[in-house]
Amino acid sequence: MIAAESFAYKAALREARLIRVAVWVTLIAGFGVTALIYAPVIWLGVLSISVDPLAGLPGAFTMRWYGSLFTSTGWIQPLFISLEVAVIVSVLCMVSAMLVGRALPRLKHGRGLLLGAFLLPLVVPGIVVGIDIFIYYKMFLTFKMGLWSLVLVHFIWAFPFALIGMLVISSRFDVRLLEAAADLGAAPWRRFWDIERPLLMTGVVTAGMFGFMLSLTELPRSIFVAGRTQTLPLFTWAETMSRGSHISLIYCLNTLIAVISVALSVLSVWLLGRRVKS
Amino acid sequence: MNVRTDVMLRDPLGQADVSLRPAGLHRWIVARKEWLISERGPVHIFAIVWAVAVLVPVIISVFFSLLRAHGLRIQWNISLHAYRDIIESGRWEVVVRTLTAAAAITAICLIVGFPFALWLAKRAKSEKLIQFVWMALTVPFFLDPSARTLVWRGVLGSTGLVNTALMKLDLIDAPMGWLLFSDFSVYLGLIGPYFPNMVMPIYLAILLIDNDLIQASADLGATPAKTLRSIIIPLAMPGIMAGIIFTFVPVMGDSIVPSILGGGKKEYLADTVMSLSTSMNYAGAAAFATIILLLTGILLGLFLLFRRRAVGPGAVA
Amino acid sequence: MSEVVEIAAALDAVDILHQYSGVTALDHVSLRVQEGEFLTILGPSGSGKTTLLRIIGGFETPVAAQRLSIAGIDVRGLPANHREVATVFQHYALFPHMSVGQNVEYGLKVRGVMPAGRRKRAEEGLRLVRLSDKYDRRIHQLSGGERQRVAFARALVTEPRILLLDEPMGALDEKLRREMQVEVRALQRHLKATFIQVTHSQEEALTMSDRIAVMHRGRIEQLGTPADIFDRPATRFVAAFMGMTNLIDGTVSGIDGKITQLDAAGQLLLGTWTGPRPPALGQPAFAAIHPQRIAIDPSARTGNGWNCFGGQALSAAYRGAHTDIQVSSQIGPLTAAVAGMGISGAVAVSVGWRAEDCAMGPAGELDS
Repeated sequence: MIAAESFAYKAALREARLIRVAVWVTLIAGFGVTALIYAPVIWLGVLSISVDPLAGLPGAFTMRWYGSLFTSTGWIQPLFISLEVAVIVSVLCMVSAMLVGRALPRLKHGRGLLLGAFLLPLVVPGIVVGIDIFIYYKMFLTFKMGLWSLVLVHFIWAFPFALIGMLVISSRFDVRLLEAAADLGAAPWRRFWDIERPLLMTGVVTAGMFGFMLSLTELPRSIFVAGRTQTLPLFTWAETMSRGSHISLIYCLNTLIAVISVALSVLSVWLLGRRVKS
Repeated sequence: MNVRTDVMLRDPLGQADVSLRPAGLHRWIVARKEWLISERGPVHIFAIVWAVAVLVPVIISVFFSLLRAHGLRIQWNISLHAYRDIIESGRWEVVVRTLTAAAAITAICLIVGFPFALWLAKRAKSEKLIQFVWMALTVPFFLDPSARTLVWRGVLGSTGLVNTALMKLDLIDAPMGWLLFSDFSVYLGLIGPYFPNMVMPIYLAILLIDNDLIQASADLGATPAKTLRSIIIPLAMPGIMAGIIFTFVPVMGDSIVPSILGGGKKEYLADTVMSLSTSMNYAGAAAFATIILLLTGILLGLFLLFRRRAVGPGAVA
Repeated sequence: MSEVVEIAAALDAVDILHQYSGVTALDHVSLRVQEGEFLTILGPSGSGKTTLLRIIGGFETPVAAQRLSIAGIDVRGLPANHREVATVFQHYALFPHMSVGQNVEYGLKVRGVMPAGRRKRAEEGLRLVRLSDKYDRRIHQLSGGERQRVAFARALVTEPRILLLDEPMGALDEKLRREMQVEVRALQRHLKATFIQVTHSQEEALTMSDRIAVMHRGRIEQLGTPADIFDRPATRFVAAFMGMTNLIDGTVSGIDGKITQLDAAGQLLLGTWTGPRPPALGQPAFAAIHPQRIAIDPSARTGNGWNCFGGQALSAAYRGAHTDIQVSSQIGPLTAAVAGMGISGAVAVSVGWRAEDCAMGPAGELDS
């Protein structure tokens, strides 16, 4: 009896130890891979203040390169185009995510089909979207590529994310509140403005932020449809591929963009999470 | 109260029934007007625009890959020229190499990602830590892919961080050339950014598994390994499948990492599409895009088939 | 009812027909509710009671309606926001992003009442439901009972011609429910307002209403006072729904003034005919008796107007206030509710009940 008990006890101990080891291996591997995302971004920041960014180990540090952003101004034009595209995409995302997101949970027919069609770009590689949009609009319809085509592909990329952000909020919206408002005498527009708009606002803001950030940093699709227009990621890309001498400038610029992106995405995910919890 | 909810979903404000309203053309116009200002109208209109502007181009491009084109001029005769070209020029090797890489990266992400997601969903205790990890996995979607990839050159290059450091420490005499512009660097560059794509769906699927179910399995005497095999993995399967698709497909189509870290020595699918389009061989590019799309379709089909089997026929609407 | 036609009723609905994808939800329903009346629409789920309320509220348009007027105004084709009714919803549907005060004021705000005026009226409304100190609270800070009171205040401040109550007690616990039943009834009497309530609880219907409409399969089976409905069911369904678990089928074998005789497989029963039309000899019919009206061993009370049968007590189930005793009698199984602990074990008993406690009506479905 005692022997059996101690055997079971030992087995349990062994099991617990095994699980503890497994958890540690999991965490080291998981956080290790996550580090593969962030280490380059942090290193980007380190290189941006290195005197010699091409030397293996960073030695002396300087803010000189950030200063050179003011003298070497090739990035300003692309930045403004990027911002212009991002703002348009952001607004498009807000409006369309609002219109589609509020109605989708209430649709009776074809809800799954529509959702599938809207989320399709998530599983179509960017390069396919880029080349397909180019072939259709440029080769078949012979449209001139430019700002509008950038807006289009960025919107295709961003809309699924914006819609998901919106659906997180709108699928929790209680349609009976609209009946209650109607019952109290509110006309359709009034119901939308007083009840739906404030309750769905977080979703709309999130959709807009997603749209803005995804557009600001989009590259694989832009490569095909930019025409003569150059966005900031395209500028970085061109400098990278031509192995130009502006590498420090690129590091500085992208460090700034990364800081803004991280701040904005943390903010929007936090906003969404806070709203869902309350 | 089934009747009630059904009614509300169908027609929340009682606008669908038009029998108390005028008949004929006027009735049709009234119905259209209501459709437009109701919530359905905008969705239907958006869906049509979406189909015409986004889905049609994809179909057209598949068709386009069956045409021949010189530069921007299309020749309107159907041929499999572009596809024959892929085989004759030996570019099918690129397809094999890309699929191998995508499969390997997906496997690595799954092996690391599944236990990580399991830990995050069921074992991590601190709410703050979970939030932090969730945030850390979300942010990568919003980073410029070329900027974060470019830095690897400074890390892995012959005068980069790793080689310099190792040489300073006298561990190696000459820089290791295989670190950059190799399969290794491409794999390294791809694993990080697509890791969240694997973890997130699995995490959400495991989160939905009732803790009582896991507890019950343990109470019935199952070892943790058996619980994992017979409860958690089967129930998390839709999430695992989604994770595989969300990782495999974009890795297969990634054009940025191979371009920057592959250095043109080892060509991947997306490199080929880019170089074909740069040389204005658009039919060839379309053919490759079609192949990528086809592979994606097969994966999605397998996923749906699998899900239908797992959930049982009839359960999937 | 014909003597009060001149006064415009609070609600006048004639021949309402409604269908969902071929299934008839309301089968030619007519209903008239007087000013100041508390009417309860009672029925099981799927009986069409909620549909009727939603049609009155304007959330649903009936397939056909000969008349549907509220306080004399034809409201057919009029959307919910133009009808002078207000609803207390089952789950209250309070606006979560507004304070208690803003919720109560909302109906006045959309009517264009100035802030000062609506604040005053909202405070009055909150005082009426004894929530004066909760004006600035957020909705999620309130308990279930408080939320319900806010829902009442919000609906009442718009001074609707009819207040519609959709299972208003459904989400409350037992004790609170009983308190609110009394309170709502008192409020209605105080305001002299017209209330139409939908519920599936017979207890709620009996304690609160002036009249009850029992619905079944899209029709009103019986419309009457609580006493009518409870003691004089017109149909077998109403009898069963109102707790007359003792149901005996047979044919009418004798009619003698107020007393009707039923032949149930050779056993004769005396009862009071409560069906919509007078009975006919040989007509298939049912007899229904409340368990609490059945006496065990009524030796002293047998005589004229009493039904008495021998039987065997099978089991007893303690229910707190009373005990249910299952009896296998000469005319079939019966349940009798007796005070106290009752009896235990299988013993031979006799059971009996008075003819006026035994309701009788036509067998089968209600015909049109």
